[in-house]
Amino acid sequence: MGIENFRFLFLNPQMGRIVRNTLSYNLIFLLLGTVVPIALAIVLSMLHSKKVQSVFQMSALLPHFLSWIVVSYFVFAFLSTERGIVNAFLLSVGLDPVNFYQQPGAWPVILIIVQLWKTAGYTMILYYSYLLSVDQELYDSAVVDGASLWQMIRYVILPLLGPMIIVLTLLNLGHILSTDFGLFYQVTRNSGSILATTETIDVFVYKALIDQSNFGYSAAASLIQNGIGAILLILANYGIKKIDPDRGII
Amino acid sequence: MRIGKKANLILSAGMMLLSAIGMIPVLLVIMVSFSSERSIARDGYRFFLDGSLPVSV
Repeated sequence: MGIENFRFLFLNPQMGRIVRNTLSYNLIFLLLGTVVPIALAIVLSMLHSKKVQSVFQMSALLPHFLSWIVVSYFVFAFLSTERGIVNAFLLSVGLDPVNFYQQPGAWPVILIIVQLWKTAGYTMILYYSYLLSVDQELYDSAVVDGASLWQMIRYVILPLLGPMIIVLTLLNLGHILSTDFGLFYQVTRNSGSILATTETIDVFVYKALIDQSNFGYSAAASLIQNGIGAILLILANYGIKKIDPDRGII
Repeated sequence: MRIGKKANLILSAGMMLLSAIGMIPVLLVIMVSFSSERSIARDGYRFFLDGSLPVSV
């Protein structure tokens, strides 16, 4: 058998598109999954009212506990052509309904919004709890020195969050070729018309496994995913340690 | 880190609005869980029927 399973993966004509989708989504998730939670955590830490903070924390964290099956159901409730809320609204304002499950161009935006909605709250809580542990005197001394809000964020808060950002980014880099199967298979309802923008390595391997019942393919794909993830993680960790020997996770 | 009263009011309102938007899908899931497939097939997924009533069971 030898490298037949790897040849199946690498020589498949769809593989370029699938790897591009996987990498593009993961890089966007990595970027937005860092910037948005940090921004939310900073804004949350500025608020005076504990009640508003609690309400926002709760509503942001709740999606984290919903399964992708439930999420796929309400995404369908929003986007369904015949019964969906979005199309009902479009019809009510005199526009034609859109068959979202036949529109590949719409799905990158939809998937990014859904992923952010589900995961940003949890990451925000991590950053927020880190910010709470910061000594208030640091902020006070920055104010005494005449720092503006932006300068305080740039020169006090972000450097304090640096270690946490590095750890979470490195951990995410380890999964750069892996995607959330639930997001890309369940939420898209496995619609064939939108595969051009929604098919990732995990979905492709699952389908290959179902169609051909060959466990060697999925094992080879997992090996590649984890191998490249591990190499990237080690390289990034090495680079960070070169810049600052006290940082890094390995 | 302290901000002014006006900025706090604007940010608080923004965060509450974001909370409300983020809770809409969860609300939909709760609502649908109390609905029947027949009522959904008849009325579709909507928060309010034409008579401004919640989805019927």
